[in-house]
Amino acid sequence: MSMTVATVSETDPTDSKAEPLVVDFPSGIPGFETCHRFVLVSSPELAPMACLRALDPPEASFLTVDPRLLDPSYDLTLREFERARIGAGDEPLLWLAIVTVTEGEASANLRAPIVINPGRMTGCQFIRDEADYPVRYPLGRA
Amino acid sequence: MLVVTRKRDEAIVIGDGIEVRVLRHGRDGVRLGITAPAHVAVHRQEVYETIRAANAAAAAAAMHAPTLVEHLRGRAGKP
Repeated sequence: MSMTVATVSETDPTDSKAEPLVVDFPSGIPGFETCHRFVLVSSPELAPMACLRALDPPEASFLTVDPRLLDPSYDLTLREFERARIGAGDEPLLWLAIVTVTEGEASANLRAPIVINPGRMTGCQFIRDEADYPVRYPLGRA
Repeated sequence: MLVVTRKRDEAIVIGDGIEVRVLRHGRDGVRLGITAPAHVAVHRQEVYETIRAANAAAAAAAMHAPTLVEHLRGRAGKP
């Protein structure tokens, strides 16, 4: 464990060749329950999106975007038991909406956001049962 | 499948710490109260299946990254 911490602290964040940090998803995400370790890859080529890539089989990749970029009033609150699932107190969390394309229509899933606690490097996909955010928030034609 | 009959306010216990209680039942449906540990996700099945399908489609669509990036950049540039 101490070895891991040392490696992280010695990594230069400006070094693009640095190994991206691994985020733990204890339950995987729906449909990919066997994927527990993910890396979030950002690059100028992908911006404003970032790629969330599973390290475990089937090594699925997901394009994600900040939901606030699409809906500036997007509600960034979790219930207490949801925050507990990613070991979060009151600290700010990283929110990502998964982007997809079906039949040429690009959309973002605002109903089931990915939320990462950077302090614990733990993430989860939450499903907002009560919220009326759409699974396919249209981004227009791709 | 285990089939049990429960009356109002009666419950079943699943494993360690999961309780499903019948709160009310009527013609329109059965109202259940579920108590589970924080690490156990509880969802309506049809909603969970929708998210599963959306994730599978998104994993397949990740290959369209360049097109999507162009599209989102166009959108982000709008006032």
